[in-house]
Amino acid sequence: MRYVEPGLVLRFARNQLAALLVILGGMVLLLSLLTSTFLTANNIFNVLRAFSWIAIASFGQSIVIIGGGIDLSAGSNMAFAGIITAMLLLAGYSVVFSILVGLLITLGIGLLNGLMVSKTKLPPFIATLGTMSIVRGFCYGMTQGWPVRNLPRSFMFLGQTDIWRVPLPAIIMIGLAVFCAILLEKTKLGYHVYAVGGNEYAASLVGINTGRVKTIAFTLSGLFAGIGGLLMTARLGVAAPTAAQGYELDIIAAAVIGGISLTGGEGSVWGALIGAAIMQILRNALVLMGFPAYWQPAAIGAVIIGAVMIDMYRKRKV
Amino acid sequence: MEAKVFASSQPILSLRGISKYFGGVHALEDVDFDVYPQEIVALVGDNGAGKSTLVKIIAGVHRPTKGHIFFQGQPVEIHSPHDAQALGIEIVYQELALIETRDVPANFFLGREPVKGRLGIFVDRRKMVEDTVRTLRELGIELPYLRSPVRYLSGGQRQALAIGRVMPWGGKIIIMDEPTAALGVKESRRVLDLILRLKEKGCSVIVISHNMRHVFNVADRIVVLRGGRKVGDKKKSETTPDEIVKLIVGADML
Amino acid sequence: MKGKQWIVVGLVVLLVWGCVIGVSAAEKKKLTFAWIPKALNNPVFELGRDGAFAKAKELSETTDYIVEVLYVGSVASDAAEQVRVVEDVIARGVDGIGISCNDPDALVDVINKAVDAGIPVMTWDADAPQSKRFTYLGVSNYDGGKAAAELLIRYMGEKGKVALLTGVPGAFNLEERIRGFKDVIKNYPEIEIVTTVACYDDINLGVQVVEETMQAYPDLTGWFFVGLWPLFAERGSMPLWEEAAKSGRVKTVAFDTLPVELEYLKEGLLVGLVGQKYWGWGYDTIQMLFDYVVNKKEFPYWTDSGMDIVTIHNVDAMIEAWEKKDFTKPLPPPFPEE
Ligand SMILES: Nc1ncnc2c1ncn2[C@@H]1O[C@H](COP(=O)(O)OP(=O)(O)OP(=O)(O)O)[C@@H](O)[C@H]1O
Ligand SMILES: [Mg+2]
Repeated sequence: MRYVEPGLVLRFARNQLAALLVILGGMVLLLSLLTSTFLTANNIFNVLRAFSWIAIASFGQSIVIIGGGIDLSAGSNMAFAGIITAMLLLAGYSVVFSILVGLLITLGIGLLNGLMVSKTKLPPFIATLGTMSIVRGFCYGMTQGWPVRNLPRSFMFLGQTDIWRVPLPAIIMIGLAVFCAILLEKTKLGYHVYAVGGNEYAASLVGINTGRVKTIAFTLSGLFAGIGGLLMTARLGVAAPTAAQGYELDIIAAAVIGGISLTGGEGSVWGALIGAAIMQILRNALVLMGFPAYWQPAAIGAVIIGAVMIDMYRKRKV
Repeated sequence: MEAKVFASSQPILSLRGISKYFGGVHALEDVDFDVYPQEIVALVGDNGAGKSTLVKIIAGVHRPTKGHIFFQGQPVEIHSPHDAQALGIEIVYQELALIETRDVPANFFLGREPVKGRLGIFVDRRKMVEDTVRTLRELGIELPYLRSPVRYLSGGQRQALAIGRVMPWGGKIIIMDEPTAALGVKESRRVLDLILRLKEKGCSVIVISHNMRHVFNVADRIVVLRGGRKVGDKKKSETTPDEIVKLIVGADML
Repeated sequence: MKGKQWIVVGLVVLLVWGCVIGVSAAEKKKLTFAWIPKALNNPVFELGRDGAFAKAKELSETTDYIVEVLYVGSVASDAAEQVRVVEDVIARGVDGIGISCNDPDALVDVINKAVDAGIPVMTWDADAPQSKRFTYLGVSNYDGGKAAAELLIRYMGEKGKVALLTGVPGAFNLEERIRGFKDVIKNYPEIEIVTTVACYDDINLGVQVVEETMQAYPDLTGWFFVGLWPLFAERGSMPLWEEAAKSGRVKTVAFDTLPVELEYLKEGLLVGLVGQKYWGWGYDTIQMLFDYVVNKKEFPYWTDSGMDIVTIHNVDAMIEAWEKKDFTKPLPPPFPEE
């Protein structure tokens, strides 16, 4: 009986992460050659910090997308977590309490998304489009449009500290990536997330509680958007009701560039991490190279399409 | 007559007065259905006759609109596929129920991944791979790369995988919904042999097929559904393919 | 024919009746003006609203009228939604409308509808020039950009490398400011505009691109923030810029005069601010509507609302105005020595 495993070359070519790393490496190499400022410790850590919150939110998003859904409320949740926590801090509550409440609320919004999708069978696009708007409305309503400022240093510490020069948000990002990777790839729940996203009906036929799996995925997405939003708020020292507007698209793009198929059932958190890195490095590069601001959206769009096309081509070929 | 033949043994599974309505569609209407120990029952009928619906009720996918289920004489409620599995009922779905994006071991253990460690949440991947390889080898199922997504497998290979994965669970009643639909001659023969071997091992098998040769090859008894009603329940030795075909299409058609 | 005559008779009766009431009861007549910003989610409009309410109170106390302000608008900037809001206001019936238009063309029809229904309309902050509004109260963003360039040159000198931070590329008011700024800089061949970066009105992105630009152009000497986005972030968010600004290597001029910016200015991180009179958006608009309706005053097609220039010399007066929420006193000159 032949249970041959693929050879090394084929395995490498089939490995999405390897392909993504090659793209990322190529970008880094090119930029180090083109600019003198890209490959400086300062800049690298800046990039790391700047994309950490998008990446963290995209981990949660990845779980949802792999499970066959989509979460458009991620950007609003990022802003909302920041506003809740900032307002509690200004009201004199402790840092730990304020953070916990902020996260609990976005977790609750995620849970609500999950229940709408699994219980009332709303399409995820519609359910989360609704919460996106509702949550943003709360952001405006609770602040009356004004950014919440003058946050305590002990909170901003989270976003502004470096440990051996590495920004704390980047360290948290790596920790959460490991957590999500283990969750998705090593646990029964993770297996079921892939199953539900790959073929929901098949998953229900074998007795997987698909509603529960989806609810958990959306809840985690809410939580992770909250964590990302809090780190961003801590870094900037301001919780603006307009913060993270439109970030859901960056978050989804990071996941998709990272090889997570929008049809579900495929991809990994590491892909999303690399996808977020590619997006941020691209943004950074455009500024460093003095690329005209007016042309930047075009460049970013081209890279999104290019990266996904390379990935699809690779899938078809091998 | 029939009652006398099987009087010696109680049915392991009995369905009584089962009806299933999907909105206005009456998929099943007042169906009685029995399975005896170590018996191979063929379930036949035209497209849309209600065969899959009937076995899905047994497998816990659908709840009957009316009627009762008895397992070894005891009334039971089968709310979910897990309930069915707990009773020792295994099913190979007509739809195969495979996840195209996942590899062979993940599909092999779909929905009941073995866990390790004290937390009981971590999947025992090594056991999955080893058991998959062993079972497939025992069944003589040849698959190429184990770690590729199932979407790279051929239709027959997928069907083989779907059949193979219910084998290790020691089910008492094995249901196969059109297991040979996508298979070649040689592979179909293997599946029929497998069905006979399962019977030898003491299992009961419910097999759905449109192929009369296959049906008469393995079945002990043949149950015919037409338009959601049971229109025939014959011992193989007391019927002919012709009669079964007449029952399937309905006497009024001839 | 008959119908029209009856309407005329009815109107005359109403008029006489109104006069009788007015004379006999000496009761104050009520005037309601709708004051409609582009969006309710932008804090600068709240300052305008406060100005509108302040003027209404003032007029109610000093004239024979009770002036009320109806503050309505779409939550976010949305021309279609704003059209709906104006329709509602027309249906409700008011004595005048002051509006900041989300789109110069989209609002034309509904403004004309209001005017045809006998409700005078003026625009402020953002105009709909093709409509029948009686005037537009606004600043020339182009002139604002020029003023910003002059401020920067005053502090930075006549040579150096300058970067621009804008919001959403293509936004008309921002582009006008940039055009004005560049037209002044053109006359100084030794000043080079090295890059223009955009932050899409996002604080986080603003912080990022400013820092990246500092990274890319270590010899930068000047910044023009066409809006105040990154300045909403707390100290420590832009270490490279802060350090360069504090040491005086980089001089920064920004648009708007919000309290956060005033703090930065007082600390010397910003050298100058050019701001619109948000308070006046409401305060002056209500006065103008009142003059138009009650005093039948004529207004030019375009009314310049003027601009606040804030430097270290008059920043304290501006801070005080913010604290008291009272912008009626004129600001001291930015350069007293002249
Ligand atoms: N989930 C469902 N919702 C609505 N109608 C259904 C559903 N499942 C089955 N039906 C209907 O019930 C009837 C019986 O379907 P079933 O799948 O049991 O037929 P079948 O005998 O298995 O046919 P085939 O030989 O084509 O597989 C059909 O009319 C079908 O359309
Ligand atoms: Mg069927």
